[in-house]
Amino acid sequence: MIADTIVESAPTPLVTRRVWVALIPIVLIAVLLRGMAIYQFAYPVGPDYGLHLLYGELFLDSGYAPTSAPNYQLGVTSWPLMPGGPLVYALMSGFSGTPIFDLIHITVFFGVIEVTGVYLLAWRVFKRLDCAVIAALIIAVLPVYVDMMSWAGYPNLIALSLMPLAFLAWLDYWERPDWRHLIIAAIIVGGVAYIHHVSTLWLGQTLVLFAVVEVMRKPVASLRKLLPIGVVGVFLALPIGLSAIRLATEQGAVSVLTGADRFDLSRLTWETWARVSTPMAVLLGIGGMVAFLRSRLPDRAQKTLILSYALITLLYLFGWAVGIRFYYTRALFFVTLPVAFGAAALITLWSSALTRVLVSAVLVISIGVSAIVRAEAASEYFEIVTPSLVEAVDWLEDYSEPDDVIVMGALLGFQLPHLLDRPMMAALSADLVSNADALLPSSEATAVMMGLSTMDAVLVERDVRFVIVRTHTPDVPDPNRSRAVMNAHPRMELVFRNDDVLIYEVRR
Amino acid sequence: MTSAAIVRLLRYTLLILLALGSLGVVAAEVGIISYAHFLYLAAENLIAVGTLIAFALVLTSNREFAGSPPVRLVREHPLIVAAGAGLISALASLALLIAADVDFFVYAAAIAALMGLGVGIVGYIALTDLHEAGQGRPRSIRWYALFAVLLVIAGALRVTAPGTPLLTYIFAPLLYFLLPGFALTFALLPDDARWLDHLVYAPPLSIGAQFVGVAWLVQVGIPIAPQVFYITASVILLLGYAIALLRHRRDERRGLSPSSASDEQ
Repeated sequence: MIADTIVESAPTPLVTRRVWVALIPIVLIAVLLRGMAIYQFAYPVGPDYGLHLLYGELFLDSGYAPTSAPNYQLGVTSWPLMPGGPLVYALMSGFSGTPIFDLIHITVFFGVIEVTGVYLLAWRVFKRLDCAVIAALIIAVLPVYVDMMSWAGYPNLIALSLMPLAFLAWLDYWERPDWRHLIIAAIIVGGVAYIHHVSTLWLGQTLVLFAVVEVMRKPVASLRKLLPIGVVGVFLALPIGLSAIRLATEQGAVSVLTGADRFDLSRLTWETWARVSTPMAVLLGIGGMVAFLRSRLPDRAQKTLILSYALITLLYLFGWAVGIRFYYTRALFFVTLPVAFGAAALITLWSSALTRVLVSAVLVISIGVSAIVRAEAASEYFEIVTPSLVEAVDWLEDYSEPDDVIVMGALLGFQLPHLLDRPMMAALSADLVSNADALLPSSEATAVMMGLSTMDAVLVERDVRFVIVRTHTPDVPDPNRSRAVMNAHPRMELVFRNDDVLIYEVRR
Repeated sequence: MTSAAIVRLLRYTLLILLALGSLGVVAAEVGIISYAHFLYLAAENLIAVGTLIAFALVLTSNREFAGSPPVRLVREHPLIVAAGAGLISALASLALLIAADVDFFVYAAAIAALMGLGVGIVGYIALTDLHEAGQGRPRSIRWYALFAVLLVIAGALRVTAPGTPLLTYIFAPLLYFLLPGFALTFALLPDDARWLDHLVYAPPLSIGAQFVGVAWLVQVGIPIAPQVFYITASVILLLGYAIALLRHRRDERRGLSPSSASDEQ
């Protein structure tokens, strides 16, 4: 039994010291759901981890932050990312001596961190065990994480998993602004800011908005808390801040956020919302957040912080309305905390405990079953590295020269640079391009893969030797079109095929 | 109609909309109906209406959770009711997964069973109004000796047996996710922090502190290498120990530490 102490007088509730027992199944749900993309397939699914972990591998090999990916997009692109995400794996590889690509399984441990972090944050905010546990349970079953694992957005997932703890440390400091809580908050917030540039943007803007509101409410008291943590934070995390500024400058972040026109297709639709976060998340996110803000359980600072985070998320979800250019659907991944807290607040609307149990069951079953079904479908959809692909890579190693240029679609383009040491060009669509350096090689590769008018010029100018096409979707551009183009082109000869890929050689 | 009656009506309506909406959505998710079916479209709209009702309910209801008297079954047998809720949830989830004809059924069934267990636990907590005991005890600085031993073992394994399962799955995760973090939590968290607080804070502190260290090394141009990671972790452990030792001695001087109390006895 969880309850091991019964207090004597009648109105006093049961208390327990063994709340960790309640967290065990929730943590296991998070691990298994997130782990489906890793444990159920020959290789972890998803395109993105190829480049992220390659960065970590290059970092370890050279000892310095790599400036470009040697093979990716012919080596002309800089790395548009904060080092922290890949460094998670690099540090583990350094500690263990295990190759970095054999450590992908540690990603699911961040599900444990997030569930326990949300539990503790919700406990601080609601001061009720049932609210804290339901918030942790909702976080564990939300399909957002399943989606991220399927396309292998590991740095995003890692940063998101640590965000509740950054908020917890911040609130602890705000409530008790002593030197110990200051150091804890500075270390955790600084660390989270090092992981992924989008999360850094979210975290920074949330804390700035919080600070502005608190300064307006209580100027002197707030400044007496903000100045010390600002000074210590700058001192401790100066290199992290410089890294963020350097990245923003190199990538032209301000001009992208205000002027880029390649994100229009990523505007949020109901279908995208329903697929990534479930329709129920509307009710939890909106109705639940209103319940949270009206509730007397959280204090004002806690409400301000969670509301700031929700507002920043809302701003980027619908940024086109105010002139912000952003990959809008990416903001969906940040709705998790408002949805979890909204669920915890919503169940307090019913006074009957039985009704609260019923509501909890309905939410967990509907969201959880959705997540399980989607986990399988999304993981199968994004299974990029397979034994057949590895066979094709081995063939290319044997039958190509070190300088042979290879063109491929986007999803293969994210994975092949770490599998094969050859110069490559990946056909990314404009919305997938993270930095301006990649625009030219991407567009040239797209011209080849889609058979555009400049295809022949690119084949000559870049001295392309091979083109790899997936035998099935997904890929960018559509592999069926690419296959038709290659089959029809007089210079293309099919030299290798298996279940997953076709390799065409460009006749000289 | 009194305002209390209106609030009650809104609550029941929201409950029904929530249940029906979830049913329709999950039926489409598992393939019982298509996403173009009227029932799915209706379910989405019910959820949207439910959102508005939740909005109205929150604005009109100024009473926090009040806790009405439980029915007799709940009062006398909360564990049985909660276990029943959990079992029904697990079975319902399994039935839906069977309808979905998932490929990895055993794996999915394990998740469904855990979901049922989670619902049962939430149910028990809600039905018994269970609360968490608040306080922990100060941590002895002798723990740092254990941390140091584990660090040395990990270092020795790194040199003698790199890449082995013992290092990859036990010692390296300990060293990366926990030990530096515990060294800091024992030094920095309040004395009444529970073990759960230490466990939750340790990973982000461990990761954050090591990131800060590595970021400074990168900034000043020192190449990073596995030895550097071990040195960084050691420095964090030492710093944590130094802070914990200073606190311990300060508490002893004030007569606050458990060791000084036992000495006096």
